[in-house]
Amino acid sequence: MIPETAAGTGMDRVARAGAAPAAGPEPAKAASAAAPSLAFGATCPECGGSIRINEGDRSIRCGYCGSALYVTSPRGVQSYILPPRVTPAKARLSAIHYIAERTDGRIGARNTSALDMKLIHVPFWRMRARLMGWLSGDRVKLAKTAVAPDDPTAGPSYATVREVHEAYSRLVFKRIDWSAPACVLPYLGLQGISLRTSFLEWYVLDDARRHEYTIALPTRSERGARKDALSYLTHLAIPAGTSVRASRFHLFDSRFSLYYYPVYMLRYCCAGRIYTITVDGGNGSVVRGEVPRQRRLDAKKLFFAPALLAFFASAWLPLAFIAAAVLYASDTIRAKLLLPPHAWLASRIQTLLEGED
Amino acid sequence: MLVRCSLCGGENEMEPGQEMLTCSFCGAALALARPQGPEHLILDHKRDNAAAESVLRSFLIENGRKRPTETATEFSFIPFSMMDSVDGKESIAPASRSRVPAGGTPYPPAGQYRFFDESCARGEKVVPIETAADGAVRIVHLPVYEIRYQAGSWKGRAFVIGESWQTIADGLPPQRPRRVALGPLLAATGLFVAYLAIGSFASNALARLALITASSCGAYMIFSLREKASRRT
Repeated sequence: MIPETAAGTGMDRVARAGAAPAAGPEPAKAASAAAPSLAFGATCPECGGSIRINEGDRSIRCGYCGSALYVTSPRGVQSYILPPRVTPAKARLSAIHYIAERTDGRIGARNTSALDMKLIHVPFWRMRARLMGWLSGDRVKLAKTAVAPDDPTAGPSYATVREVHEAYSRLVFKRIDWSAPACVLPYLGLQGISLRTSFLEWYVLDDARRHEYTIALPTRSERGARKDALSYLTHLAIPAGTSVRASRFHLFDSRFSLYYYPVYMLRYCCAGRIYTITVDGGNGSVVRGEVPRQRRLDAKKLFFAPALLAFFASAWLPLAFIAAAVLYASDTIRAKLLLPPHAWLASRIQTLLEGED
Repeated sequence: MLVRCSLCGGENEMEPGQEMLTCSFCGAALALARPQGPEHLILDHKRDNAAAESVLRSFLIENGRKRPTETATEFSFIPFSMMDSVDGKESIAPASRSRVPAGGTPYPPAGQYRFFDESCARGEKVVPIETAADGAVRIVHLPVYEIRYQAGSWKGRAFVIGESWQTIADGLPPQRPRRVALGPLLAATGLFVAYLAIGSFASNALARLALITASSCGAYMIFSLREKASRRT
């Protein structure tokens, strides 16, 4: 028999903390003047000792009497954190290597100046669940049929290919381990990636670690994550080359947890422009990086455009001017922008020789 | 935000998003319910005008616009409502009528969010909440730099969000005229003169065309082979 903890009853009497003030003329001052809120502690119902309950814990053991306790209404979700395995210096080094590699050694550490580097623990939702459902539809197959001509003297038989639609239905029952970022961070380039949670050594996110690291706030709600997961998993369950007429899927026994993954965000400056590089704090690889674009010389245009112009000029000099006038008119109509001839000429020569940005 | 333990009376610091914490004095587990209204948070940020202006300069360079001159920067914490719709989609909207970034809405940056307190603003201006959106789950005060600048004769303004350094602008200065690279231009002129000279050896137009084509193809092939050899080394 597992007794209920005091947490089950104490939760009803909690303070309402951190609520935004109603919109008004002086809402900020009202919030700042708030006194410390009161929270109710949970004690072991067997021995009365203080017990430690982490967020999302469903069952715990009393540290004093050893009683197994069941938390009737667990608060929050279980959160885990991976301390960074890569030092900031190593992260910076891998960023420099990345820049040099992507620019063929054209830009190195001496051409750039690092502005700042931040270590952020990015939250990821992890969902373990069972996906159950069914779907039915058509499976499209290509059938090859040999057709003999009516007149045997007309020639050999030939083959025709046609689409054959076969009805099918399928039951899906899968164990799911899914993860996705819990916040929108387009500048970190972490959209659409998942964590290999099973292969890493995670620590429970306790109060000490929460204060130690910069933790990004999960802005994606659990409900949103569930919707994303269901949509993604439903899409995966559809076999390739089929069309779905009807389907129904549900998630059962879903357990959500938050995993905070370390990521270094490095900003550097090169020729007045600021670029961002995201380095994985777990293994030191670059997740996403911006590097200065290389304006390559367009050799074909460099050699053949003067050749064409030289042919026109040698054939009949005004022909070169006529060709230039036609090009100017064509560019003006295409861009719907009337540039002064000298500006057009400068831009055209630049584009012709160095290509577009 | 401070939370007082009901068992020992000790005050503990609580972070946004936390629902359970351990009392640092008596070790008891403390339970907190979600607040009825939206959470009111502020993103911790230290004002840095120079950093914001360099971000704007970088943004304009990236878009090929004229460089900003004569900048005037104002900094404030502007409130935004974060909504969580029924279909699981999140959205963000300004929660004040004045000082709304024109040209777009920022996404909430990753950083240290704290429960709202005037002291977190480090003495900077805090724009009050005027229009909290219905169904807002969270109201966040984000650090926003409003930069008024001049680029040539063009005057405008842009907003830079602290921590994410996202730039929002409803208008951009005119395109910057591109500088002509002298090296390739001289090379092209030299080639033009050389082709003209080669073409002058031919007696008719067809022969001239053949000579110029052959010489340009030859020059291009030699250049390509040298490029490939240099890449290999």
